[in-house]
Amino acid sequence: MVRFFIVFIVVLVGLFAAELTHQVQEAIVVPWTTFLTKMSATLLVFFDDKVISYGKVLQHLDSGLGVSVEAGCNGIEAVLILTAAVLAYPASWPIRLAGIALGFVAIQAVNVLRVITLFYLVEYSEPMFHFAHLYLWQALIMLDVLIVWLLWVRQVARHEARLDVVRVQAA
Amino acid sequence: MKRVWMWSVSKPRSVIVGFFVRTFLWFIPLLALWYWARDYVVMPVAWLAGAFMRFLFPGWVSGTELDGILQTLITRLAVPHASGRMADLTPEVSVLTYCYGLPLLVALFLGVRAKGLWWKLPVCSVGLLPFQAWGVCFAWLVPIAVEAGQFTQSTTYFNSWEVNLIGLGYQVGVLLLPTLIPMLMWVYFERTFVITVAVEGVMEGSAPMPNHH
Repeated sequence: MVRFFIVFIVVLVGLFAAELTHQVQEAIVVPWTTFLTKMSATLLVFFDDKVISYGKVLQHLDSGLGVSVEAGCNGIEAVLILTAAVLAYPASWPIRLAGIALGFVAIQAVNVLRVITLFYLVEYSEPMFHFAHLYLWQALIMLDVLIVWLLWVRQVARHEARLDVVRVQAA
Repeated sequence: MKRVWMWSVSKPRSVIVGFFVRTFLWFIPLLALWYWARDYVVMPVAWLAGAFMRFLFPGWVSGTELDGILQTLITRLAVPHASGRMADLTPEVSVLTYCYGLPLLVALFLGVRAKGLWWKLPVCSVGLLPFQAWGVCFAWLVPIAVEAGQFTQSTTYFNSWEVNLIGLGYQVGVLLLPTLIPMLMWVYFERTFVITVAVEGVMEGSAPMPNHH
């Protein structure tokens, strides 16, 4: 447990400091945030053709209201936390990489839901938008990270046990 | 005749599903309750953040003022005002922004039906305070050291390295600590649940493989 916490903190601080550098922001964070915004707009157009996106802004053509997806809302910090937790837990590298890749998808899927709900909340009620933006979704995304990590931990144990069974049967 | 094996016996539901449902259902009313009591929730954090700042920077921090969830740092740092005169810099921070980890932590404990809540909740609530105060303190320091750095540097003596550190501390305080610390506390105190999850995985992995007749 102590080893888990130490590795987790070291990896997370390293990843987070790297994320804040100009190079990583330019190469990964900004393009990803733009893609996330575009993806949200693409999904929304199925239901509402008045939604547009440009850069990291999602906007409604009728009302002119919109949201700008900023740091903390692009799901990258959540993915970094999951990555650190996966790397800190004892497992083989292939299953770690699979956990990070699938976890990334799971977290970003929920994050798209966050962006979309916040986009409509800002039109509906500004106080509700602030409440959902600052408190509700921040915590829900972290709950998502925890659930994904727990599912991965179960999968690691299942995989290891399956390998043991195969080894015993082969012996 | 080849017959595809089907799940004839319903698969037992994972403990993770129950945990998620309970945590989610607890979190919503707890967050509402927490928000309703927000003026009181922020008080201990505001007190600690003010104490930290007075202790660390006695030369230019005069005190703090708390108005609802907004806390203002009163400084003796002179900066140019829009009126053309010099004014004392008084950055204002929404303390509540750094405190929402508490309802999440309580929901996580209730989600796992934690034993010993009578001592875990007070211990964790107090344990969260320094990290929440961290966020508030760095949120004050950013306007002082970064935004008004050219006017305040002669008093604060923050060098460029320290200014960068303040920027990093602010990002950590706002993006990571509010939810990360409750999660780590939960993992530490409820590690038996993590073990249960792993054991569940082992049981599944050790179960006989489905036969294909």
